[in-house]
Amino acid sequence: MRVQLLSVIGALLLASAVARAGTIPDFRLQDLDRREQSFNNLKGERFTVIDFWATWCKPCLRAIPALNALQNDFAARGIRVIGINTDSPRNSAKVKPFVRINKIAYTVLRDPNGVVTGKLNVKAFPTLFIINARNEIVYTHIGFKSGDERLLREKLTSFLEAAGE
Amino acid sequence: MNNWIYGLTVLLLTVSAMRAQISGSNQAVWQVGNLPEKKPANRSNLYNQLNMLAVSDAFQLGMRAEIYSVDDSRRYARITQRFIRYAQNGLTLTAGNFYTMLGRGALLRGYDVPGVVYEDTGTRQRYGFYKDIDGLQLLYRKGDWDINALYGRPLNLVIPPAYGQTQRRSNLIQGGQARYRFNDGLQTGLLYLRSDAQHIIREYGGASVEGAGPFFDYYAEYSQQSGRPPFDNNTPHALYGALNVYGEALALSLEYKRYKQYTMGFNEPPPLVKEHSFTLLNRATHSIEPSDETGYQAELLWNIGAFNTVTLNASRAVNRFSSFKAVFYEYYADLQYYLTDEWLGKLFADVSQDELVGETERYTAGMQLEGPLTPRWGIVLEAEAQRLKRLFSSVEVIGNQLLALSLTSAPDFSFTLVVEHSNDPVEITGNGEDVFWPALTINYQVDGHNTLDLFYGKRRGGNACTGGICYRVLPFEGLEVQWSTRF
Repeated sequence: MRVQLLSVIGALLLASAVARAGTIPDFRLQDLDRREQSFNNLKGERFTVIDFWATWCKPCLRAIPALNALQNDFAARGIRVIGINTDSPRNSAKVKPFVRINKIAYTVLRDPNGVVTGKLNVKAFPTLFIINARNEIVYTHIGFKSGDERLLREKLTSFLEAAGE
Repeated sequence: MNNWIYGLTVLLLTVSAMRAQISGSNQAVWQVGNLPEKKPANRSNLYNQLNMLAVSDAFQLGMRAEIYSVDDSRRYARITQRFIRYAQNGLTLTAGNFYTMLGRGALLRGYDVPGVVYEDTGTRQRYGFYKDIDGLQLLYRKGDWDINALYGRPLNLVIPPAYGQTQRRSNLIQGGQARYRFNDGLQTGLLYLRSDAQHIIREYGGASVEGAGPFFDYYAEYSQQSGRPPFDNNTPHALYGALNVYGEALALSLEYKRYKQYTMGFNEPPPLVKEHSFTLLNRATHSIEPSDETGYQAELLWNIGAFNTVTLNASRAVNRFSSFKAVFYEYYADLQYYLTDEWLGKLFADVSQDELVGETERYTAGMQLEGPLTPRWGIVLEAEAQRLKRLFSSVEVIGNQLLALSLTSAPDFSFTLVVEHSNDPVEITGNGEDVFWPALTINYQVDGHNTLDLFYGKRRGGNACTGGICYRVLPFEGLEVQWSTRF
C-alpha cells in the first residue's frame, strides 16, 4: 500500500511540476429548469465570476446581493456571473423559490452531486472564482464579509483595465 | 481492480504529464487537546487529506489519500479514493470511486461534505466525511434522455479507513435510473436497485415524475422493495412529493415524505426538515428514523423589498414503533432586513418538540447584526438563546445560550470570540450547575491558494448538519490548526 501511495503521489507531483494549472475545462450542469448548460456557452466575453453557494450557508446568502449588483453593473463590460448551487436533496426544493423571489439576475446552475465542485477542488462555501476569457482562474476568494463587495469591484475593474478596456 | 487502477493512474499521469492539467487540494488539521475532562489533555494528532485531479482532454484521473497520525495504534495512511473517468459527447464512464444519487436520494444518495473531519468516541480515528461508491458508473445524456447505471460498493462511513476496504464496503449494489423529458411540464423516470448485503439480496424499484410551469414546479417519487404490495405498511417503501409555487414576491415550497421500513443499510433518505444556519437550531435538528417516518415541510418566502425577506417554515415528522408514537414538529420564522445598504439584521424565533429524543417545549430565538465599521473592517454580532424540557431530566428547564462576536477584515481575515453556556445535565461533569464553552477562532486567507484556521478553547459537541447531511461532532478542548490548500 505504501509503495502504491508513494508511486501515485510521486507521479502526481511530477505531473504537477510540468503541467499548466489554473484553468478550468468546460463543464455542463443543469439550470433550475433542468436544461443542460455548458460553461463555455454561458461565460462572459471577458471575465466570468463563478460563485459556489448553498441555501444553508449564511455568508453565501450575504454575497448574493453583491453578486446581483455585479451582474447588473458589469454585464455591459463583458462580465457575467454564474452561481453554482450545491444544495443536496434536503434543501433542493427551496432553491428555485429562493432565486425567483429574490430576483437573482444571473444564471444559477445546480451541482447536487458535487461533480463540478469536486472538479474545481472547492472545499468551502462560498468560494468565488474570477475566470478570464481563456478559462484561467485569475482570482479566488473564499467566504464573504463586509467590504468584500468593494474589493470584488476593484478586482474586476483592474482586470478589465489590464485586459485593455 | 485496485492494482489495475493504480497502475493505469501512474502510467497515464506520467505519460500525459506534459498535456494534463493537474489540480488538487490539501487539508491538514493538527490538534492538541482532547475531549473535555479526558486524559491526556494534550493528546496530539494530525489528519491530512490530499485530493489530486488530472484532466487531459476527455480523461480525468483522481485520487484521495488520507493520513491520520497519532501517538497510538489508531494511525493509518490510505489511498481512500481513486478513479479514472472518460467524458465525451454526453457519455461519462467512471471506474473507481464516484458520487451519485438516484432520484432525490431516498433510494441512493452519495455525498462529500468538504472540510468536515469525522470522529466518533468509539474508534477515535479522524477521517473524511463522505459516502461514495467504489465501482463502475455509466452516465449518458443525449437529447431528452438521461441514463445513470452503476455497479459498486457504497462506503459505510462509520467504519474508519484503517479497517480496510473489505469491512468499509461490505454491500454490493447495482442498478440505475432512466429519465425522459417529454416537455418542460412532464419528465418521467424509472429507478432500479439491487443490493447484496452478505448474500441477502433485495431489489427495489420506483418511478418519478416532475415538471414545471410558469409559476410552479413539482416532483414526486415512489420506490419500494420489489415483489411486495405497493404503499403497504409492511412493504419497505419511500414516497416523496414536492410542489413549489411562486409569484413576484411570494414563494411557497411544500414537501411530503413517507418512509416505511426503509433502513436499507447503505442509504439514508433525506430528513426534509429545515437545515438551520443558526448554531442552536442546527444542533437541535431532527434525526430521521427511516424505519417509520411520515411528515411534511412547508416554507413560505416573502420578499418585502430588495433582499429583505421573511421566512416562515413549518415541519412535522411522526415516527411509529408498534404502539409508541413520537412526534417532531417545528415552527420557525425569520426576518432578514437590510437596515442600510450595508448593515444587515436578522431575527428568528422557533418553537419545536422532538419526542424521539424526549425534548418538549423547545423555544429558541436569536439575532444577528452584520455591517462595516470602516471600508475594510466589519463586525458580526450573534446572540441565541434556547429553553427546553426533556423527559427524565434532573433539571426542569434546560437553557442554552450562545454569544459570538466577529471582527472581519476584507478580504482575508476574521477573528471570532464565541461563548456558549448551558445548564443541561448531560453536558455537566462534576458538581457544577452549569458549563461554559469559550472559544477563539481565527481565519486567515493567506492568498488564493492557502487558508489558515485556528481554534482555541472548548467546543461543544452534539449534532451538526452541513450540506444536508447530519453527523455528530465530538466535544473538544484544546488547540486546532487547519491549513487548507488549493493548487
